[in-house]
Parts: sequence; C-alpha cells; structure tokens
Amino acid sequence: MASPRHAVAAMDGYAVLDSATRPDAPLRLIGESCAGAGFSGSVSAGEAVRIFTGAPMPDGADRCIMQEYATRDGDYVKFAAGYGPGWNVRQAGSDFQSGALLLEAGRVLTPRAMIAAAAADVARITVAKRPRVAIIGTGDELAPPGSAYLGVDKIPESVTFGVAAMFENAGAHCVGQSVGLDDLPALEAAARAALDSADLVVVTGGASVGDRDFAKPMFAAHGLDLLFAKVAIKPGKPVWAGRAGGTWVLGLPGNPTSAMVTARLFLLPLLARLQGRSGAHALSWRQLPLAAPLPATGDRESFVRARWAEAGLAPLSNQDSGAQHALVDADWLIRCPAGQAARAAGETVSCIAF
Amino acid sequence: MISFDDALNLIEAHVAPLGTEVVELGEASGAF
Repeated sequence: MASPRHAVAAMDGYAVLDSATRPDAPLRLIGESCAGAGFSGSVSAGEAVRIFTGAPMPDGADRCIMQEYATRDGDYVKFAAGYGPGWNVRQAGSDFQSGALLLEAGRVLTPRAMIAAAAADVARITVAKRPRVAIIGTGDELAPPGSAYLGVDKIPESVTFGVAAMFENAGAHCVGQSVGLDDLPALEAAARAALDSADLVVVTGGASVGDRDFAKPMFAAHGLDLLFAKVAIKPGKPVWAGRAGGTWVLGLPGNPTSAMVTARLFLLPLLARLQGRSGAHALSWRQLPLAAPLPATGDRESFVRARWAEAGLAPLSNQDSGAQHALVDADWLIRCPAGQAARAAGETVSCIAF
Repeated sequence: MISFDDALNLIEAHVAPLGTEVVELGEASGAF
C-alpha cells in the first residue's frame, strides 16, 4: 500500500479548488473530511470542505488553506490574503509508492524500520531465524548475584549476564542462563539440556586443562567436535569453539574481561553467520586516532580496552583480564598486532566498538 | 594455537545459516 494512501491534508483547514479561490471571496461549505472518515462528494468552484490533518482531500480540491486564515459565517467561509504559498497537501504515494522497496534484505528491523514495515500494511514478515542461545557459567566459586555474601569463598557470577546481554543485542534469543558447579556428571546433564534447546551453547570458565576445567569435557560425552581451541590473542587465549550433535558450542574464558572480549570477537561473528551474514559483518574495524600513548604489544595479538576521550582513543589504565569495573568505560577495543611497537598519541589505530 | 584471523575464517567456512522464518510483525523488532 502506498503512503499516503490518498492525498491528505497536512494541516487543519479547508479544502478548496485553488484556481477558483480568492482572498475574502466567500465559499460555501459543503461538508467535512476527517482522518478515517473522508468526504465522499467533490469540490467545485465556489465550494470548500472543512478538513483536518491527515484527512483525505476531497475530489476536486487541490489545496488546504490553514484554518488560521479562515473566517466562518454560517455555511460560508472566506480567507484572508496571504494564505499561500503552501498547498498543505501530502500527495498520494509521496512517502512511498505501492510496490516500492522499503527494507532491503539484511536490513535490521530497528524501531524506525518497524514504522516503515507496518506502514506498508504488512502483518507478517520474513526474517532470518533468530539463534536460540543457552549460556552456562561454570565454577564452584560462582554464586548468583545477591547471594555471594552468604559463602566465604563465593563471588558473584557476572559473566553470563554480560554475555547474554551482548547476544540478545545481536538478535539472539536467550533460552537458558545457568551456573554449574565443577561437577562433571552435573555439567554433562546441563550440557545435554542446553544442546537440546539451543542452536548455540556458550559456556564460560573451565576452558583450560586443569583437573577442574570441565567446559570441554562436559560436551565430550555429547560428541564434541572441536573447530578450534586456543587462539593467539590477549586476552582470551583459551577461547574455543566446536559442535556437539549439530549444535554449536563456544567456550569463553572465565575471567570477565576475557569473556567479554572473546564474546565480542567470536560470538558476534558466529551469530552473524547463523543469521545468514558474513562474520565480518559483526566486526566493523575503524581507523581512529589515539588520544594517549599505546604500549608495545607482546608476542600475541592484543585487544586493548579503551574509552573515547576528546581527541581520540585512550587506553584504560586497568587492562587486567579479570577486571569488571573497567569494563564500564571500555567502549572500544584497539587491535594491536603481535610485536607492534609502542604508538604515540595522534597515531591512527584499528579499533572496533566494544 | 591458531591466529585470530584463522579462527574467524573457520567460523566463516563452517557455520551455516539457520534460514528464515515468517513472524508476526510485532515479533520482528531487532530481526533482519
């Protein structure tokens, strides 16, 4: 359906035939046109129809004169000089024509795009399937936020909250968020339940090879086939990915900053692929200047957390992989190739919104 | 241990799209 569907008044006023209308010359009122209840007759020379914003213009009328210029006298109305030059009419199809392409394939249905889709009189729409994601945090030390104080050795489980928020912002549905103790049979059962309900399972913590690192073993019983394990980056070296019974599994480190960085770098591209896009779509690298010096990089490619300062990117002073408070200000990740020399303020670096 | 780019290439090569679905407009916000 075109928008507007009909020519409509853009103001409250009077619909007239412009060529037959002169200042101070009375016109006979023959009806009223309201939004949702248009005037069914037509307007001829010497006639006018009372009309309101959004109402269909009557046949024969081509101008809406604003009511501020009108003087009513019973069934007649006349207009003060100076009512032009605006015609105050939105022509049929002036926003979009019937059959026009409003949203190309791949366009995210933002709040603004939802307006256009609904305006086209569409009730149902074809979209990329939203991935169902389950997330499992692992670790004996973890307790739900609000209860950690009850155990001397407990800490609040924060990672699944941040990662779940990230994947939901990327269009995925969270179908499970849980925390498991370092108990392999119990974790195997949790893995089974997650694999049965999700297209992708994210597991955090337990990514190393210690006696109590069960993130991979808990999926091994379900046929885990690794795609990769350990990536030469800092932070986040233990990140891994694989598939178990047709469901993707992504293992993130347990340290909060490491988990969030690797979620940004691997989870979002994975979700983009599941939704039919290139993984690169989720990684829009930009070239921006440094507002402060950037230390030299070690032997692993590094992703430095930074905030935006007045003149550019300012690396955060706290680059600890376990940091949680510093994440609040870490709006950017600076990509630093392995072995890169120190960079000075003003130099341009590759970065991504975090 | 593999490089970051190699890991991304593996994701690109092995992860297949889930496909499409038809949903009510009211459920489509945020999808594409």
